[in-house]
Amino acid sequence: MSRSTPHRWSAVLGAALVATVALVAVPGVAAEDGLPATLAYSHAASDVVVRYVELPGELAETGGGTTLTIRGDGSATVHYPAYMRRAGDHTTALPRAEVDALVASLFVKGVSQFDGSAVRQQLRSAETARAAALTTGEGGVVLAAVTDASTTIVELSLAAAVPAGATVLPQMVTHRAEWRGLRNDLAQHPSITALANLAAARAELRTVIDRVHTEATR
Amino acid sequence: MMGRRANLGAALPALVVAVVAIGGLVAGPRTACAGAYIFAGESNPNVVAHPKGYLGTGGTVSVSVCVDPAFPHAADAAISLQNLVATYNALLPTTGNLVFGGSNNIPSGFIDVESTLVHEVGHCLGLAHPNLATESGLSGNDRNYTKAANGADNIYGTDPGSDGVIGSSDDVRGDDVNLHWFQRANNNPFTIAGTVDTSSYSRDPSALPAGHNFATNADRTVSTLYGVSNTEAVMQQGAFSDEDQRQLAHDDVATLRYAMSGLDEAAGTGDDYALVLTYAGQTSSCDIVVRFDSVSSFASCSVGGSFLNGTHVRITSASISMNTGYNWFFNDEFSFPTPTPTSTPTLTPTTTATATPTPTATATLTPTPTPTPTPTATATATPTLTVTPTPTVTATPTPTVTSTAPTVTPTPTVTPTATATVTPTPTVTPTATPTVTPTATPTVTPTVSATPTATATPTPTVTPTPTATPRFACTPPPVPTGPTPTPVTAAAEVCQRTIAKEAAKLVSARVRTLHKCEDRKLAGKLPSGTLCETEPKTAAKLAKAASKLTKKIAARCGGDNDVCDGDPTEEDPAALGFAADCPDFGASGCSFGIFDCADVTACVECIASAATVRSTTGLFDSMSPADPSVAKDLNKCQRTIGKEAARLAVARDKTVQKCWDGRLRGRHDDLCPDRAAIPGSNGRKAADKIQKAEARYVSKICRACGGSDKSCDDSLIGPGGSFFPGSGNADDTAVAAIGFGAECSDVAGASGGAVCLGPVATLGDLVECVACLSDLAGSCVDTARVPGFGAYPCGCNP
Repeated sequence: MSRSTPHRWSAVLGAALVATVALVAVPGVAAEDGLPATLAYSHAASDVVVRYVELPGELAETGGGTTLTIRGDGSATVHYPAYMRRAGDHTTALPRAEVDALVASLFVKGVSQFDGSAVRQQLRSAETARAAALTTGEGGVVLAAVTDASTTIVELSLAAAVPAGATVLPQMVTHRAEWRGLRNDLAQHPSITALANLAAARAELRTVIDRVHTEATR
Repeated sequence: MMGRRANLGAALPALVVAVVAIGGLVAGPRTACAGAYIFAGESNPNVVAHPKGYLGTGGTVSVSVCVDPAFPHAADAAISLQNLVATYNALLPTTGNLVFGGSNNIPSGFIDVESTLVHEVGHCLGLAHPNLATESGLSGNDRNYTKAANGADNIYGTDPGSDGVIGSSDDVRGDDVNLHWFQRANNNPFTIAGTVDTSSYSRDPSALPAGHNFATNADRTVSTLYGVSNTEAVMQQGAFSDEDQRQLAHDDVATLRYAMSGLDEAAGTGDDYALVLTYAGQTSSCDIVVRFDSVSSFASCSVGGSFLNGTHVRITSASISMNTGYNWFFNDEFSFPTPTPTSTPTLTPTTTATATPTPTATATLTPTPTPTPTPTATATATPTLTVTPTPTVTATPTPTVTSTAPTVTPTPTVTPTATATVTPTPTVTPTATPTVTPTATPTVTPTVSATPTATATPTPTVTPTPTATPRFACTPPPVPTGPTPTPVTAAAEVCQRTIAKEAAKLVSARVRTLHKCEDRKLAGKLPSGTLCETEPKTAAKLAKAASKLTKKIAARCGGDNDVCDGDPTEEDPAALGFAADCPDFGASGCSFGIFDCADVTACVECIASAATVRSTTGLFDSMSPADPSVAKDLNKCQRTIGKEAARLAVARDKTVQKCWDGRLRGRHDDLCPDRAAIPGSNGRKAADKIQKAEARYVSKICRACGGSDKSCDDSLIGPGGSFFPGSGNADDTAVAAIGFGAECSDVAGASGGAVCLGPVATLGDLVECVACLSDLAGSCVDTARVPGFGAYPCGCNP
């Protein structure tokens, strides 16, 4: 995982967060080396820092889909429902540096700023423009759809911003990025950055899933 | 009533993009399935989607389905794909199509590939979810509301109405735009109109029956309101593991058939088409390509389309992705949809209404919104067509509602596979009197007008598309229809049950023993000229089995001295349902008078012996044993035929016995087996079990004798109507090589009968012939041992 993110962090923070976020040194919450001073997450084992779920569309089982849960202490658990080949819970411990890098990477990829409504509007505009441009000789338009697409959910829990000099403990705020049909929408509209970033985040998390599974079953 | 609203909020998943109007066309580059038809949406709710290949002109639309061999599981999925092709070609509207747990062949924790593919192929043909599903952005049960767009307020109405059931007719949906096509007459998705087109179906809520708020969908929960539990449209989103949903429900068939009425949405016109799916095998070149990969979601269909006109779309591309990460169950049994009684004598305005008291009187039958009469039995038709006989529904107080004989409207000629012969001949053989048990009393409101002499269209359910014709006139023997004997004493009941049970045991023992002997001949362990009945080891076993029958019957029917010697304390054969004379079997000498339990024993034994010998010799007599050291595969083929034929006969025997025993104990009044009975009934369970055995029988023989592809070349229809699609190749082991005769001799004798007579030119012929012989022999013994349950099949003693 790249450790070259601080530079990019600075850019993001400069645009959005610098003014309101400050480092607060409190037990259980710390800013790590390599992370921007304004980004913090809980180190407590009881707190979930990253959660990723892929919900299958057609399947109505209550077990949901594959779930990755990374807690503040670095423990990473992958849950595969009973109807999956890897069924069961697999847990391993991730090094702190790796969790830091993952949190930073997800932040950079916009998980905490993901605005589903705005992206939908962007998608509509792109499709309308594309419709106007397309002709097929049969009514002039092309239709496309993917049925029963899965829903991608990525949650990132960060310490809320507190004013500089504040003495209160920051609250953990869970940011949620959720999109149905990510793979297809991105294939249709690769220029929509928010979707591309979410897909990249998803790919990164799936790499972690594979690693957790491999280590847990070794 | 104030409707509850589900606010989508900002964090909900992507909603489908509404299509937009461009240059007068309602269109857009992309939309997800947003209606009963894919590509319908809020701005174009009336869109009807057609399968790939439909260009607006009538005829046959052929859609090929294949599995990509470059990806995993291509071979594993072959049978499921062939089954689903048969399912879509049959277009059988089915109730009870949800089969759970121990009633299906899916291991716990596994997801049925075939059921999932049936759903996804539906999408690839142009069908959408009938429910809101995940594309709505709603969660949990709210996804089960009927498919709609969320209207001007961008919020779905989610009030389930007074019945509390989501998806039912009293749902309050606010300004939601209905996208689900419903039956105008009754808004009941668990029935289907005889003619499916714009005259009988609508999407417009103003066409809903009086008192209905919204279109009902075919969700499994809603089905209970209509007395058809365990039923759900396969297109309803939301599947579970360990669930078999391989057959189409009425709603699925109606949606497909509505599209088949063409651009004018009127059935019977020149732009109608017949939909025919074919299995193209393991290739990546076909209309619907299935791939198993590790990157897709659970299962999905990627589909493209283009407009034929303002409201009609045709599919232009389709592919299915299945994720390999799931515990997929690959069905290894060929099967064919087994329709439950498809008559739904629902009291609707489309049912023939007669008997209005005055010439000017008018009547409209207004059924209560939910329960409809549940047919408990209909007719057994020949495998070519299933047609509801004339169910009579009586509404109270008046008028009497009588549904007339159904209109049979077979679709145009269909050729599902290269070898299947399509015969839309409406040969209907109703074999049972339908018993209609209304679960609710319909309300008759004599206020709305109808002309006094009007004869409205009945609402029969017609199986429209036969997909193959059995090679033989292998009509199942007549279903026993006689009165149930009612033993006057407990002892008589015990006697009766013992006769039935021990006769069944004798049959199984004889089949096993004779086939074992024949197998030893094929294996070269006995001389090929051995007459098994007299072969010492075999004869001893047969004698032992017969002796057991005699002893058991004597002990239970022989009166005070436990001997069948005619003493007055014995059970009276006549009271047990036995006729004065043993009915004989193919002129085998079993035609003596029955006066006491010794005669009963002799009669049952005689018929069982004759039937098992005939069905065995009918199979093996002309077979030339192949030397296993020289022709190993051929020998294996021959032995598999014998072994599986025996298995099928024994399975049938045991299953039917268990069913009859239940009836003898007064636990039910079913026929055994009864394929047309409602799911879960004893007769239906027996039929289903036999069908499973039949599937195994065909599968095993085709695997052993079907050549390199391990499939029979021809499509087959078993005695019970089961359909087994063929591979269409030409690599089966030749019948001549197997050594089977050129004719399927009638098991009960050469004269008359002709139940199983017919040429045996192919392996398919052979498979059908053997099954037919076995089925007939079994049926004869069945009715001989429990004669009070019905007439002795005519084919047993022509």
